[in-house]
Amino acid sequence: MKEPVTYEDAVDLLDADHKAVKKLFIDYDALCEDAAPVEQKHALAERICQALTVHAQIEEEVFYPAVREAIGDDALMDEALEEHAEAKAMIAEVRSMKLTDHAYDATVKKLAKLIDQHVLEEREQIFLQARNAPLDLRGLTLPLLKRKQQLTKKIASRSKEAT
Amino acid sequence: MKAVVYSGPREIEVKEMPDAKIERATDVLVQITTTNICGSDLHMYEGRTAMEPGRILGHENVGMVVEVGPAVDRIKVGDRVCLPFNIGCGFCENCEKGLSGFCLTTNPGSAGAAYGFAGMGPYSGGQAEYLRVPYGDFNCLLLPRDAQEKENDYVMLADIFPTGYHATELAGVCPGESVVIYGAGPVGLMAALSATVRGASQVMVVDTHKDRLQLAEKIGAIAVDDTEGGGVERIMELTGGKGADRGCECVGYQCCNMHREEVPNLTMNNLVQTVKATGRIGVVGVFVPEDPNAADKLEKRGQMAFDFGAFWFKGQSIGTGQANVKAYNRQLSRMIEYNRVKPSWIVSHELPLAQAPQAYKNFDQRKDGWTKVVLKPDK
Repeated sequence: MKEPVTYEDAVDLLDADHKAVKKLFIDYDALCEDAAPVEQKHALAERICQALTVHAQIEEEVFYPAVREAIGDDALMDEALEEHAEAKAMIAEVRSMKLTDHAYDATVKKLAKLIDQHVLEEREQIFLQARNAPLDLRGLTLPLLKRKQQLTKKIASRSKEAT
Repeated sequence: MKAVVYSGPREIEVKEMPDAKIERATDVLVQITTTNICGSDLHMYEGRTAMEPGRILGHENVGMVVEVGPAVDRIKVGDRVCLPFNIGCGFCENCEKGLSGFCLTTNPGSAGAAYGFAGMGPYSGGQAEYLRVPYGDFNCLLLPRDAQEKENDYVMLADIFPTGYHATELAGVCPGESVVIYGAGPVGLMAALSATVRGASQVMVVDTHKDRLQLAEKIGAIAVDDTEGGGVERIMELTGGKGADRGCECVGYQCCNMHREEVPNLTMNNLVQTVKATGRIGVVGVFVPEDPNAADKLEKRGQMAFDFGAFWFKGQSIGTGQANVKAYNRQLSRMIEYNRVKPSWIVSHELPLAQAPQAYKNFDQRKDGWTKVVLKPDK
């Protein structure tokens, strides 16, 4: 049987990602405070990086173009893309670092701050305007979800190959 | 327009800001006549939230409507209105159920919007000359005819009176029951007032500030001074060793012990101890999912060492969260109109907007006699 789509609309789906990643960042801080083993921290950091990468990609491929067309605020959407680029660069930095690097934790925390700021702006500007615009946010849910599942699957099979 | 602006931790400025205006057809523009400083503003003032500098504070607002958007039907220019601190849309799943504090559309992603509050949407606060009110027809409470005369009473309907009432509702206070309330700040005092009008037999209020405890005594509550410790013992004595039927938490995550050191789990664990087995606890004090600037390790991640074993063993239950102001403000306004209550009894200072920075400072330091500040932007 086909599973029903549980998200009310595209905003709900995307913000569920935000909430999930926020919790992972709080958990990461806790691991640092508790002086947890580096492997544990690294696994969590990698989970965060994966989640953010998939999230950014589906936003850029599906959500942002539709919103840009509906609200016509190019400056706002360009700024969001710039923030994504900044986040991606930082994710690449985290991934390229040695686990034992002293700056590893600090870089993950820097990433957390950047994402916090981006999420706040996205919620208060893009999501709010998108909801008030003549845009089929419900209709966008399925393409977002499908693409997300596809990308997540790809990552899972790639990491299986690696091990 | 002049407005009270957050510029950074413990920095408040009164400065010229762009005029608030109608942005959407459903908006209402209100000229603010009274706006309060709330205890929750202090979390932002102290830099304990993600509040961005440059934003206007203030979520306890009363004023006169000066303009309405083209899609506003009910509210008219000239109406005296009180604005619930929560901004609801009126048509989402939660608003439909009366849970307007958890509106799903006014602050996408996060549940609930408010004026001038960290993490609760892009809305400016009302410690200013003008305020933009989204979904004006839904959010404005039209005040009774004695609105101006009792303005300092009606302004309490924006937040603290409904919030105090919500604490007693979450705790399920019934006539004849005993209630212990932690915190004699404005919300705790409003919870004491609410418990009294709900017919509680004993209303015990715990705090360490004598000026505030005296205000609790003025409405017939039993003041429990915890300055020397011993508050818990006193409650048990007053309830024949059983504990109170109901408990209310009106302090929140920055609760302090008698030495003014923050102990985030203090009030919650004292409630477990001083509420009877099977009793219910209502928590309206603010607690946060993360608090990076806290000293306490658990508090940083939004956790606390809660006496869950005792809580379970005693079969207690708990209700939490911010008040849905619209669920209560209409009835409570009638109580003011018919002189059943006078919530302005807690007002200690009535000041012009220009004196907001000093007022924040004194209120934050819990200076003796600074219980509740009402600001008058038109004076």
